[in-house]
Amino acid sequence: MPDAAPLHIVSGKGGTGKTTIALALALMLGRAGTKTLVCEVESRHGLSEAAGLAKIPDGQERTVTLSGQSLRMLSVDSGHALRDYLESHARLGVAGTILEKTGFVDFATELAPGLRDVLLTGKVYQAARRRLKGSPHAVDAIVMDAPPTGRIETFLTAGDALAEVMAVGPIAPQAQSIMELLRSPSTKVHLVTTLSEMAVTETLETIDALTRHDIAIGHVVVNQVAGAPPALPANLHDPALRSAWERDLAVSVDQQPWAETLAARLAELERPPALTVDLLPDEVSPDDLGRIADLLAEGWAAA
Amino acid sequence: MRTTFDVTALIADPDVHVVVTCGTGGVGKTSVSAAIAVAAAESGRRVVLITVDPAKRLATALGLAGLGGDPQPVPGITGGTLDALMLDMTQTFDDAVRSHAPRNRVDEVLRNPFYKALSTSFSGTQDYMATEKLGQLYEQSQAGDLWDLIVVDTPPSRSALDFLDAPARLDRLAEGPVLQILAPSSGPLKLISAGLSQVTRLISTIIGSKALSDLQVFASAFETVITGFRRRAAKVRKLLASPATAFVIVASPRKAALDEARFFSDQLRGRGTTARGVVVNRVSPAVSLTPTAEAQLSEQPEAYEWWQRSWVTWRAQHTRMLTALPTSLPVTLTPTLEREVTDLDAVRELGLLLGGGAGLAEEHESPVLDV
Repeated sequence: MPDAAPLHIVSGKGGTGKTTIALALALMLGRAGTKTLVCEVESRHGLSEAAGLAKIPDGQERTVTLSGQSLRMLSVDSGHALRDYLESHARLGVAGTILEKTGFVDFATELAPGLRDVLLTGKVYQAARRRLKGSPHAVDAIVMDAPPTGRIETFLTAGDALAEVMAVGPIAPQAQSIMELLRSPSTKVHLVTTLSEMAVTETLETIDALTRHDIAIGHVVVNQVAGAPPALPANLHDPALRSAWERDLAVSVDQQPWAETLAARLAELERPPALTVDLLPDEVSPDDLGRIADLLAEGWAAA
Repeated sequence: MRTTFDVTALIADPDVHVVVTCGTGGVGKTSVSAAIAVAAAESGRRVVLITVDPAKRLATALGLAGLGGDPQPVPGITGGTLDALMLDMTQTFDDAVRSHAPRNRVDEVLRNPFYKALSTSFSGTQDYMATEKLGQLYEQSQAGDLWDLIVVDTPPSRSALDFLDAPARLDRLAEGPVLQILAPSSGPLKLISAGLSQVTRLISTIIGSKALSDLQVFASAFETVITGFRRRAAKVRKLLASPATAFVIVASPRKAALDEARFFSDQLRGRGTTARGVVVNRVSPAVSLTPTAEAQLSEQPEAYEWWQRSWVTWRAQHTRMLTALPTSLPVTLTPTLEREVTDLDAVRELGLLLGGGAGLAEEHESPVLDV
């Protein structure tokens, strides 16, 4: 019997480009011949937008073509997930409608601690287990564009919290199965960072926090690495141009110490060195995604 | 030329008592909020800054290295005064429970497992708590005449609207049937008891009877707390809709951030308020070449390519800003700083750039403005 599909969870500080890296990773896996599902959890169509595709409605899954590669794309939504749950797992059928009418569905997803997060990871859990059930939509790898590092620990361990609060009843064992998948060796959390104090600090803190929860860390991807601009001709004295050049240089110099801090700490932790992706001047195009997928593939193979 | 957003005028406006900065994550909202607060303080105002998640070194610079849940004076400010505080969700929530709940129920609420989870991990709690904190500070500022300007850095969320909607969500929760079903004793609900018990039985099937009774205890105690919350939230809502509050949208030249800026500006308008302006942060305007510079640069192909790349990027960003931002929204462009904003001098430098007010030129107004 096959195992659940490997799960790649991509997180990172807001603004570091985790959605871009998640897409590029899915592309990399797809190109290597792996049937891949890339999913977002309530990021409001960030995936489809970043990929330049039509919006995928909440709770829906589609086959999409990205940079010539076919992928499955899923937009997970907690409201839909709870309705599905009430219908199938709790076998409530019509009774579920009553709960919805009384506002319980809104209450639960907006307010019940951790429930929203467990519903979201629960959907991904189901997708990972399609292989076990011989589903026609079975996939061999899942990439999740996860919440940012500020919330990732709570998000991934919500199952523990929920199982504790709801110790009796059907939810606890279900939450525990989700936690088992998240802690299995086939699940890896990849962290995207940029070379700034906050992003590097958060990345290192997240590595420690998730390690404490026995959740495995995969790769650290350093995104938006600014190279030094090429030297200007010595006879060029245009002050505006000089100052623009100096600004570019300063940005690159400012990043250096954080590259060193990160590298030193990863070495200390006996982790593979970070993969690096250079700073794109502007918006990410599908061609850029393809190129980033190639960059990732090199590092993935080497590590 | 579009109307330039004049941050200096905003800071000097004596009728403005609250500045709320909004925007998606990763655009430098926290730094911009700090820069506005510092600039206002150094222009002579008495300012308090509510910040959410500053970088460690920025927190240190703002005197928030230790526990910063209460306003602390920022060292090194000249002119006026600046106090800063970090939004501590659990502390604010606990304080609110202590002040709103009946004395004999405080411990019961604070110990309840649902309350604990809610006050520490619920993703929307930050928005409620920022509202609560703003309300507290506003009351304090009126009572004690401590501050004449409150700068609020809104919590990072999927949408800037989450902060604005927090009071309304609180109302929906309090008026919705769920709390009343869970805590029927005090609610006005006259549900037939059979229907009521059917619902609670259902909930019990899903979450278990122990969790249900915890939830009921929580709900009944929380009902009293929520009344206090709502009273304050209603005041905050009024404050946010009044001319005393100025909304500043922070964006970057990226499409997603600009779209969010437009969306938020439209939403504010729909509520009868307008954003004071948008700060497009971290722009890297390219410089146009003089014939001499062009000739010199052409001798070194790599350097020429560097210039060309930055020029093409800047043109694309410029066009995108013109397309995405509503023409009625005042704009100021802030160039990328050479270093991270992690000390008071860098905060001041950002403040100068903000106050410098480089506007957004229309497409036909070439050459493109050099910031």
